[in-house]
Amino acid sequence: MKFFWLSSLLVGALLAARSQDSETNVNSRYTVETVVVSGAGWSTSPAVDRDHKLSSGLRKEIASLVGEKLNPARLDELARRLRKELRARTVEQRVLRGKSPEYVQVVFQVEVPATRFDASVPKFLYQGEQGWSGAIEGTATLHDNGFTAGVVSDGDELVERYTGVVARYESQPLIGDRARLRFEFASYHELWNPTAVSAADASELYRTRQEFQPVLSVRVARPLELSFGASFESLGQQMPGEAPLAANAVVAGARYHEDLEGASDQSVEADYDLRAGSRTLASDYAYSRHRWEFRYRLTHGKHQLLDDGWGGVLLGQAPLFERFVLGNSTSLRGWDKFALDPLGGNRVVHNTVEYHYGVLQVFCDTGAIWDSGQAVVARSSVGAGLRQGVFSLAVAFPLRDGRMDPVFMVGMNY
Amino acid sequence: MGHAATMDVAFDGDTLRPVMPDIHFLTGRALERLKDARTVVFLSQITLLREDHVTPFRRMPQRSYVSYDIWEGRFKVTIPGVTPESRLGLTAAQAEAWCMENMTVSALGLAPEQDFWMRFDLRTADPKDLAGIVSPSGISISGLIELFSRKTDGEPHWAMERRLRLADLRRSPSRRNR
Repeated sequence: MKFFWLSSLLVGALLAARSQDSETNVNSRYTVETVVVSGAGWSTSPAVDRDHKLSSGLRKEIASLVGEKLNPARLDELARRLRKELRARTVEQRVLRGKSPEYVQVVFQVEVPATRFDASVPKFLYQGEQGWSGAIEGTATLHDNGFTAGVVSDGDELVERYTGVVARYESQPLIGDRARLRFEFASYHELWNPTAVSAADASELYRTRQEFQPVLSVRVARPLELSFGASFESLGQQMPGEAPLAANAVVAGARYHEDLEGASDQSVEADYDLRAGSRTLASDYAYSRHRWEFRYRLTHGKHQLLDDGWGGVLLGQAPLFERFVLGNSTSLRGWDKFALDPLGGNRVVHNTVEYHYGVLQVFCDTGAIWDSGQAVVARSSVGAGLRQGVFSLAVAFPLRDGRMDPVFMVGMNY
Repeated sequence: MGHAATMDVAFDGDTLRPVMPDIHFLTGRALERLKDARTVVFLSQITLLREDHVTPFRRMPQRSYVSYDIWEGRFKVTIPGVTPESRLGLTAAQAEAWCMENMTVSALGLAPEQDFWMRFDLRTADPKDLAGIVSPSGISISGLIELFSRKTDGEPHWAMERRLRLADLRRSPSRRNR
């Protein structure tokens, strides 16, 4: 009997998947008046709102239901995508009578489990020059409060390779979903490249680094978010018995993100970050670090064009982890960061142009890194590869006289 | 699993049809889904078994697609096939009756004095559940696992059976002549 139900279901499935639900469902003659997506304490009308809970693509698809004839099979598909995107336990769709005859209202009711656990790999890459880098995190979410713990070994992002553990708490939305509080703790053991060791004073190199960073983020208006907080860093020195140095700073940031929808999708993002170390925070370093970034993305069908420009200025006496780096997996790809500047620079400017067609990508990076007072030398690299979602495989060529040394990169989330 | 109290069988000389005036399947979860403007599929099967009550010799599966008009408060039933048949504007009782009328099995080749068993199964399936099994790349193993690991407590399922002889059945008018 089980075989009967199995075979019936499979045959039914094949037929149901092919048969148009619109042909069998009497309500498919009605026109969709409104669509609402709602969860515990929130709701959005994708045709009217630009709520960032939903990705632009999904929001547009849901909005496009309005004015169309009801298609229950399409509602099922959108409910499935909502469930996946919002990591919801269930997404139930309700169809109600509209305000006008022959019209219906669609409501997607989202139920997110109060408690859930996610494991993620925020970074995983191999770069020919710097080797492997990776991070694994586990996040438990309890009533919208996120508790994360993870391990990381990163030889890509900074001058140093830092290896250790991270723990993070992110509060549930505060002040009507306008604010979030975040506490982050990290403890790293540092490894220094021989080139960096030979270029640095021994006193600049620390053996361990502990970080505690509380930050409050507030969404001022829909596209603009501000953040304020502090960063307390303790730098364990190389010589046993030496007192650790403190690098305590005020941190602040502003982030602007706007999606422009039309025949092509466009998104504009602009960030500014400030970290200011001060003696008043009992810091052994007094400095200010300014970093700004501008990203523009144009998507048309399978075509995607991305421009990402950023720059930074570091003033005063800062620890090495604050210095800017080029020549890693995200900037001047193909160049060796230690060959460009073994201790990083206190001035930087960089721009990336990427073109994607489906999974294919080509890119051109241009940038310069220097210390104040030094001559500025602009460098470039070009590359090509494949990108599918977060996974990327690329080969990059630094453009320099007389040589072309390809560097291979493979990884996720960069 | 639900069981109807009795199952009568109508025989028009060519086909056998279960008759169960007490069975009401447009109720409970199925009705809730229908009132959410979904299509609910009723999968049925009539199985004829030999006298030993073990060996099946004929099976007739059937599907009925039912939807509920949220403005009119009436049902639509579609019986798929080469030429699908539909009925609109039905009450719940009329919709159930029309579904049942289309659940028949051929009696061809059955001797009048031959004892046999007739088994009738009916259950619901949401097209969403069915479609979830099939992806563009083929049949989804995870979809199958999810479907069959789901508790079936809330999923209505009716099963009835009866021992018969054609000679004992009173002939009813053929549906085609009505």
